[in-house]
Amino acid sequence: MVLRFLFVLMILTPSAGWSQDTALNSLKELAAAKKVSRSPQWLRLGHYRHKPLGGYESPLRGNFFIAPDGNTDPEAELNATIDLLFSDDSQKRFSQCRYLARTTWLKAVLNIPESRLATCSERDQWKEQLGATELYIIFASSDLNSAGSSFGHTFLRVHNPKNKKERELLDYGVNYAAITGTDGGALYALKGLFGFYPGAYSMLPYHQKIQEYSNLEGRSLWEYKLALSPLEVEFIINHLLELEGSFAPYFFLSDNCSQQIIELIEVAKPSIPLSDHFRGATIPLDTVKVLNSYGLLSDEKTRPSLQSEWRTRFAGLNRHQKSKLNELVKNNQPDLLSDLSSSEQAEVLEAGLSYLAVKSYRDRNDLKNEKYRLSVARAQLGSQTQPIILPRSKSPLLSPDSQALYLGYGANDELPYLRFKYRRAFHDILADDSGLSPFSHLEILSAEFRYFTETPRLDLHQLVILQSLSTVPVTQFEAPYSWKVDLGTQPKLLPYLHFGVGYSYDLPLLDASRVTLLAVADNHALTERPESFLGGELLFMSRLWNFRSIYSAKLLQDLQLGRGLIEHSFGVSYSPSKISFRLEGKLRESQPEWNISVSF
Amino acid sequence: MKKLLLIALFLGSAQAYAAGDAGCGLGSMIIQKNSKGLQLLAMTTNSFFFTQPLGITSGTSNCSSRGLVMTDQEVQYFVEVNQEDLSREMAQGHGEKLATLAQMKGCQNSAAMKTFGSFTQASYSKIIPSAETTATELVQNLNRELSQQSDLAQLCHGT
Repeated sequence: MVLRFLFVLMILTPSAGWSQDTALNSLKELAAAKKVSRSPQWLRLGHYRHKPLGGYESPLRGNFFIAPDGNTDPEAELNATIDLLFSDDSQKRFSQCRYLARTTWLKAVLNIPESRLATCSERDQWKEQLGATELYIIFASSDLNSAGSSFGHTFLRVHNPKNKKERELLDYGVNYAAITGTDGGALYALKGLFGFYPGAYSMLPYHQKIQEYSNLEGRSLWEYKLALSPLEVEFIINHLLELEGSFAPYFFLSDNCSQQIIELIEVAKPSIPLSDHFRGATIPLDTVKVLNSYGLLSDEKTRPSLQSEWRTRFAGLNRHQKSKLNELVKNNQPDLLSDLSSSEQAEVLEAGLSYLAVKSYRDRNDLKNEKYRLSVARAQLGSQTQPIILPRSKSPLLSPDSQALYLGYGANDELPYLRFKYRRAFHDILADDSGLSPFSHLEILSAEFRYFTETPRLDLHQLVILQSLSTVPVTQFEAPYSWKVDLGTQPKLLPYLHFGVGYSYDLPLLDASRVTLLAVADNHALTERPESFLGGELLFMSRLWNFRSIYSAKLLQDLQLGRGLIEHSFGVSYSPSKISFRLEGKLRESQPEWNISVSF
Repeated sequence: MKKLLLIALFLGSAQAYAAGDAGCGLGSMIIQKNSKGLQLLAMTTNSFFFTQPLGITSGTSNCSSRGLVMTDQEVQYFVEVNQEDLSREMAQGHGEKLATLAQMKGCQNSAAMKTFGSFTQASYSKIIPSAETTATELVQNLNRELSQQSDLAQLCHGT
């Protein structure tokens, strides 16, 4: 019986195969005639990128490509896709459910008859439960802990219209991240810079993502609705399901979360060349700005971090309440508030609870008993307070571009020069800091040339690899460090490395003022006879309307020559828009230097 | 017939109770991160330990199946993730997470949510009897206390 069955099968197979081949071949011919394998949509679906010397390559690894050379040959991949998805064999055809986005698009382009389409009820059910009709892009800014995280992070919120108002916390967050395991320290940084970690998509309830960012890391979130139709959103979800089981090497600077997120949006908007704006480095904040420049963003909304909530609550207390709060967090005795009115007590207790929440995330200590005691006392007071309203911060979309050009004129020890500077990234302390850490500086890769008009000669004045200053004010409750690291070459290619660490204090002057005291170590001419200095630096920074100023006085001891010296420098800027005008000067060992410049 | 229905109901609730007992097993949300000093280089990685892969083949746990939270475990999951914030917001009687919880319990308009906030304040020590109250206990206590609130039941349909 079995033998007979096999015999019949053997006779039947060639003819069945032949008829299928013709059908598939005509589909492939149609695809070739329509140049489907070179269409933007097909290239986006495979995440193909142009190689510098011609041809294509996709960073995706894993089980994504069907053809053996599918990641470099879009045409071979298209033919393999047609063979697999639209085969006569219903078993093979079930792969349509594995490649939902490819199927949906090819079905329309190649006019695939219904008879060759599979039903994917399991996926349909899953998508129905997810219920996605809208996508939001979430930008996690830095709050104040580190200038570094000013670069930010982006991820998506998949919105189900059933989740109205506050229920939107039950939406899902889709995140692209490096899977780093438990590596730490320098190994982690190096592996990340050079693409040794796989990057992949993951999904968690949005409220769980908020835990990570606004509570754990103290980063405010900015949400923007993406201009995508429900069908385009479904197409992206289909594509995300296709990506299940595949990954791409994660590069911290280039192939990072934001690069993948914009490529994902390109899958639904193949005609918009979003990723063309980013080659070499993808800065999350820049991707949000590029999306905005194509009119893809609307409905800006901010979700303040736990830290901002705590700071707002603290600022709202009167002097007496503040001192009571200080006692309360030390002794954890709610009774000592008894001389305050009920509503004043409620405000102090709420601020105290806010503080304990921030502290427990910071110190990785749950402080259960302390929190519980204050909570019970607060609950007993009943309804006393209204939800606090946080001051609205300026949109990160309005911050100056991360790349900048500086053109200027100045004099060094009475020798006049013209100044040309290019900065790759990211933020200058004298520029507008909307959506960024206030009073911070983060400069990565910049070069300054000076043309001395009298000699005349052109000099490389300074090459910056990294210049960063992060200042966080000390308050009654917290004493975080402020720090700086400068690495580069000056003059010409003579390397230097400077460090500083200390504390900052906010002053109630002008719109905002901060004074920073740092212990500094300056090291010049590292490759020749190194010159090392130890000493202290005082920084005074302030802001009024669109004006910013910085003054620095450094008292340094030359370790080789055993003598002291003082260096003064200052800068004033006026930034009416993304263009900024500035005057900067320096006086070191009676050698004055100044310049005026414009940056944009 | 009535008896049968009662038994079915009893079995159903016993089962729900048992499932509730297990919780979602998400654990504490406070996790160890990479050292602060390397943040500059790590600025865009954002790697996590409790990441779950996206997609339909993700496994099934107590409260989620194929990467999505089961509808009947929504409250339990939400409370486990947000217990810290909820404990604070229940004491002050307002807050975003509390509003989300109130909505999950069927309170839609602002009047209902306000009443829900006053209820969590008034019943605070019953809902969270100690600093060691677990998320599972919190949900059970909340449900028990809620069932005794006839005013709130009227305001919040579907509880």
